[in-house]
Amino acid sequence: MCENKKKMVRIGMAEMLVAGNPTVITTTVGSCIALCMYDPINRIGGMVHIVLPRKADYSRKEKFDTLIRYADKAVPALLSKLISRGAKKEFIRAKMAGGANMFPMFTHPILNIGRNNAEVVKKKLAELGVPLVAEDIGGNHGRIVEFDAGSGIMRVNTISKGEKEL
Amino acid sequence: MRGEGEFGRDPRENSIEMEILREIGSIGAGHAATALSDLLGQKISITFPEIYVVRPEDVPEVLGLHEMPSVVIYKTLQKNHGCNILLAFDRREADKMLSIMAKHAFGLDELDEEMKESAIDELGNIVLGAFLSAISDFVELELLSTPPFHVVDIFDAVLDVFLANLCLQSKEAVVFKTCFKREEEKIYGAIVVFFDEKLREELVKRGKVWLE
Repeated sequence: MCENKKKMVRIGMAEMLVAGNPTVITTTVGSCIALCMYDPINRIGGMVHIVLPRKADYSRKEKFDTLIRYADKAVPALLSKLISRGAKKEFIRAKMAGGANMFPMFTHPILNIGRNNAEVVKKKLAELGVPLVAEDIGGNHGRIVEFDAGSGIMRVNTISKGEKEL
Repeated sequence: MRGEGEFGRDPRENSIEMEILREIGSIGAGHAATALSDLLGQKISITFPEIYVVRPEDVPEVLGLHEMPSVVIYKTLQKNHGCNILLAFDRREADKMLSIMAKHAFGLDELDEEMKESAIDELGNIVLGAFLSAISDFVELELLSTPPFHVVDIFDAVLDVFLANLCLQSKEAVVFKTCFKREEEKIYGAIVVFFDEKLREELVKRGKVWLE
């Protein structure tokens, strides 16, 4: 676990947070993606909880919808937010976790979107020139993700696969 | 988070829908309790201490399970109408239920892993099947459901798979906090129902007739 003296902040689905040291951002993901970006020189980082790869029709407005729900919008949104808070584009790195298929026995596409989420995130990161330096993607298990915004250290906890540090 | 009685947009519609939900809950609980009692040879009662109607994204907050290891059983409808339904337990509560099932349905002290898997699915089949049957009876439509599937994992991680898609398909989720009671023993869980708009409108339409 991260140091106790750090401030822990939980984000939910389709939420984004950028913070400096000493903040640990946490979320829980199944098929969703916890995408983290950080600038290790200026010690600022952020996380976005991505839900779906993309929206079929962005002109359609839904009451509770938000663009950062979608990978193709969330990746540039997090990058812009970091830069606006003082991060330098050339130093920014990315890490990601999630994208699981929680119901492998069930083939309905509604329950198998994790892989698509991960693919779109990787594609957008490549387009934006942000190096993906670590990932913990796929499988059939949920993940509790903790991201230290200052250091860029990501910890991933699971019930069945233990804990790992990225 | 929105609370009880805030299902629809018009206050009168809210009231009708809460009445319908209580009725469906009552019928579904009655059927499920009877089936469980038959299976276990023990009197089981099912009550709903709290019912909430919330945005799908607020379900984790209502249940408060978040990072808890949980057992979630899922059924959905096969065609025409959309209704996804979950039965969720904190794993410790699920273990209590499995312990009762081991003793009274199988005459064993405890179940092996394979039997646990079957028992969880059977529990989901009985409880969720009774609920879907109650909905089906209410709207007078034949609603065929899938077999149950279950997963044991971090609660919020399981939920996000459903919420990822359902947030846009279902405007509301109905959360029945559920208490299974056998003699003095109580086991707590939750039934969560995501109606699509078409089925929700049908429920309101039939409910208005039913209330007249």
